[in-house]
Amino acid sequence: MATAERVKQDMPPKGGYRKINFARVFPKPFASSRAMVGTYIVCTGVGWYLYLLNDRLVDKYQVESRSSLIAITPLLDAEADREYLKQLRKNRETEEKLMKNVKGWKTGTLYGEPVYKTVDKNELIEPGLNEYYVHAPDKVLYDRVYWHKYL
Amino acid sequence: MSFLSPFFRNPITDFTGPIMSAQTGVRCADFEMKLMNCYEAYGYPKGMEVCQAYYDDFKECCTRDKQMSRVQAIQNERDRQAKPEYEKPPAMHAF
Repeated sequence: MATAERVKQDMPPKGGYRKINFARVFPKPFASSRAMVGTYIVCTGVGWYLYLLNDRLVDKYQVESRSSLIAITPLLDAEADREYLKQLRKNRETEEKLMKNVKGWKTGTLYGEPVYKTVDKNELIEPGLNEYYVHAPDKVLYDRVYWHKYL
Repeated sequence: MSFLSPFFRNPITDFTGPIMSAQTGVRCADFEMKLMNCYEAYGYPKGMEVCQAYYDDFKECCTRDKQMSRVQAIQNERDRQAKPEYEKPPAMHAF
């Protein structure tokens, strides 16, 4: 076989192949583990302390806010009651003006018939919602009763 | 023939009688109490005549019949007018 003698066999280089590096390579540590844990504990502790300070401050703000609301509630209630009575007076005057041509009508009664028979005349008879809004345009009452439709 | 108290009184009527009353409410509790005191004082059938005003007041408080008729009359009068005049709406949160 003359042709086979001329073929060059591919052989390893002299001294053999270089060694395969399969050793695990660790990253260079940023700091020692003791220093890292210590830094973590210190930072967290400082953070907790600052959170505590802020929490106390927020509590103070909330107490202040609630106290002012409690202090002002009687005033707001009194204003609402005053407004209610003023509106009742306005309603009475409007009714007198509106119903002056109706025969037999007396203000505050149903054609001269009192609403309550046994209740004293000087006592306040509280109206219902639609009686309270009777002199305003209809849409006002509907809007305020069905306010949730505009949400 | 009508009765103000159960014909045959027993623990069941004692238990279920006060359930349907206006005493748990705010508006009509006084009216109902006055009516019941009057009925208790005069009994049947004299109470039905004497306490008619209390009965009417209690009924009016529960149904607001006259007040709603008043509202209807005012609205009718306003509708009857050629140029109905409306007032400024009441302030909110006052009712």
